[in-house]
Amino acid sequence: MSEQSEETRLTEAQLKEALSNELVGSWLWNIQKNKVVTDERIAQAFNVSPTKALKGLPLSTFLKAIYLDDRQRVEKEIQSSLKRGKKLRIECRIGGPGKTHRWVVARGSIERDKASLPITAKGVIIDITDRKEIEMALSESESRLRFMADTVPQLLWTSDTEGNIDYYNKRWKDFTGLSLGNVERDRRSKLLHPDEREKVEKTWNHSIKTGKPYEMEYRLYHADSDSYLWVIGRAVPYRNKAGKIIKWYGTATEIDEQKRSANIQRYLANVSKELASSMDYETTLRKISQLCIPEVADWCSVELLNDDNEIEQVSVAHIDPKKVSLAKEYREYNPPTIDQPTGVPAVIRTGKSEFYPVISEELIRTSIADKKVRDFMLGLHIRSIIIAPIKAQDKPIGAITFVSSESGRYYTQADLTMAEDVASRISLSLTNVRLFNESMQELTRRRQLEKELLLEKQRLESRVKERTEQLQATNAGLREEIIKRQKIEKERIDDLIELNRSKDEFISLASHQLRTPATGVKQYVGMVLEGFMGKIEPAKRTILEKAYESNERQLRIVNDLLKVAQVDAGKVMLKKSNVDLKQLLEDVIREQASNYKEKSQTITLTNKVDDATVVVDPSSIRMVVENIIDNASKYSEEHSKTTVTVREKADAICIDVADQGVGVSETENSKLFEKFSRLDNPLSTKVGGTGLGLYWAKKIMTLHDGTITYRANRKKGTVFTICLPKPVKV
Amino acid sequence: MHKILIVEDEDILREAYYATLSSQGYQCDVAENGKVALEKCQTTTYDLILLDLMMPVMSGVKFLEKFMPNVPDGTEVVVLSNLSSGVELEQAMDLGVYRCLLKSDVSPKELVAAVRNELGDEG
Repeated sequence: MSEQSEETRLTEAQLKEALSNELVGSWLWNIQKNKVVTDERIAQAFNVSPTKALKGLPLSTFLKAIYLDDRQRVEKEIQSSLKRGKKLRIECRIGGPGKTHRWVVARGSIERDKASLPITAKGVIIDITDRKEIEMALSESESRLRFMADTVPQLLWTSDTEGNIDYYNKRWKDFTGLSLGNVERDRRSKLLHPDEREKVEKTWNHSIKTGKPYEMEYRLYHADSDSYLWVIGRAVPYRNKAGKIIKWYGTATEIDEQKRSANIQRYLANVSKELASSMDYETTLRKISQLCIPEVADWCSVELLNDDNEIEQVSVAHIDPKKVSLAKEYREYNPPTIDQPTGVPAVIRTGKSEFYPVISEELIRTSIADKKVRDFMLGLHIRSIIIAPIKAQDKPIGAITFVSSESGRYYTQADLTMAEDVASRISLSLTNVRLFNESMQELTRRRQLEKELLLEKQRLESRVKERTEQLQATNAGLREEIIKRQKIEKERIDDLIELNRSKDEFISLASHQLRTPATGVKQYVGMVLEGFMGKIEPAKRTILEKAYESNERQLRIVNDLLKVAQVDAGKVMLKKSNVDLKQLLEDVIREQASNYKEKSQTITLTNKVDDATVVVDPSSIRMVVENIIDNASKYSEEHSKTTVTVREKADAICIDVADQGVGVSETENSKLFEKFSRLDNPLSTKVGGTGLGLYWAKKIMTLHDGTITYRANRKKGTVFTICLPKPVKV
Repeated sequence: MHKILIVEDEDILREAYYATLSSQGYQCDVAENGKVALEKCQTTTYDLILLDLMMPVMSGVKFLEKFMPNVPDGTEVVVLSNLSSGVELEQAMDLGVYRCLLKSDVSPKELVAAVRNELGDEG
């Protein structure tokens, strides 16, 4: 049944053809006898005699009329049809030089015997010159269109209303390496990058359904580089006059470079932003490695030298966390050492980037010995690697690695520039961070030092304060002590003064008391001695005289004591008046004349002053003078000479009493004017003095603003000098 | 016969002066202090009063204050004291005493001489 339907279909087509084209004629070919019978028109067309043609001519005669260029083909096609098949359809040109060619098509059917050998064939020949011309013209314009389609830089395609692609331009074919024949659905799946595949198909299906045009970016497989490149794909529907979509026209324009460039720029901007945003460089570096996934790289890792000079991986990123763990495992298994000839260690050592634009499987297989490592590397499907050095203050301290693998693209110079740019930005930032940290450390150190200094200062101040307080306390204590002691001393002095005063008072009192009984003795013994009781025998008289003398001495002592006590207590009242010292001396000398006479001593008075008037208390000065003159006699031997001289100085009148007596020795020097001082020599015991005279004399002289002094006499004896101030002349 | 009043608080001295002066023929009275002396002066007018200054009950100066304003014409007062100087002596002199004798200086003979002098006696 199918055979028949096919035959029917053919006849219909033939009819169609016939109807649309000019029928030339019909023919009959006896294949076994090699006779072709045609009608007149065919004969004319083929340039053979119609009469002969009616009878029958061999095939070759007709073949001669075929255009030389087609002849070989026609013969081949005839043979091929004869071998198999039931139909015959051969197009060719007929005509020779000088004639315009005509296109004809010979169509027929072949009858075969039981052995399937061809017996006869019959059919028609149709002139298809017009059609052919149109076809050629069409083909020409098609060619032109195709040429245009093939020359534009875009990739072009067309599809039917169901989305079946029926045309790809040359560019497309060149780009993807695929052409119409082998673009089946699963082949087509390789065309699109897995990441965009779903989206693209979804969008395309949506467009087909809705008739809406689309425009989107996706990656298309590029055969030459065996990688995926970015394109921007568009599709618009073509509608007929009725508005019905009859075809879809699509384009794809490569934007890979722009896209990658844009990605790089965006990544660089993000890198800068991250570097500027935080000082925590570990986090920042981690972010930087993550940011480049997947637009700029499939893998990214940052490695830095730690303090022990080992290479530490600060971050490693990939879109699949499982792969990240795998990479970390691998690194533990095969850690990089600084001495390795290539890779991160080499980059850190040399400070120069390493760029492997194309890594083939072969390269991996031959260059890596360790099977585990090799398998790992192969499993990653690495395409390209860039390792750029990270520096701090121009010293390489690490590296950033970009790896392209699953995305299926190869890195270019532009990517290397990007990698080095990122590395240098990181370097700058790290340098800044280091410098900042150093200065922060410095600052911290300074602050610490300042704090310590302040603490020290405070400590010192508090110590000083303590000490000061201690000292103050000590001082206060000392002062208190001093005050206390001063008080005690004052009290003691007061006590002493009081004691002294009470002693003086006592002496005074005692002396006073003593005077009465002594006076009593004087009266009673005196009465007897002075004859008030009658005559007494010389022997009794002598004894009484001794008693009387002794008593007189006692009285003298007591009187002296009282005088001294009085002057000590400051109770001497001087009644000053004008006294002529010359006169005074004369009086005193006269009084003492008997004393001197007794010891056969002489005393002379020499006056060298015109006016020897002084303003003094007469009685006390007299007593002083008496004392000195008396002493001069007492302390000199018999027949000695005493000289009294009155002289004057600028503002004083002086009396010198020079004796030839015992003199004053060195040891007695200092004590002469003290109480109870008595010269230590034989004479003094006979003297009967009280030892108070000179003490009292000095006091009296002092009260008169005068002086009493002594010096040794030239040869022997002493010179006592008293000086009294001259009266102030008004 | 001249009358002498001996005003002296010390027994031993009073008796000595009394003995001395009586032996020379003077009529002597004694008083141991100023108060007694005043009493005695009220009943008797003396030619000479020998007056000690330092006495209990009433001192010599106090006596003079009381006595001197109304001193009888013929009465002489001589201070016989142990003070050689001092306020009391000054006061006594201010009150009209012209003569002072220092007890410890005066032997019996000298006392008699001084009394005779005052009274204008010879012998």
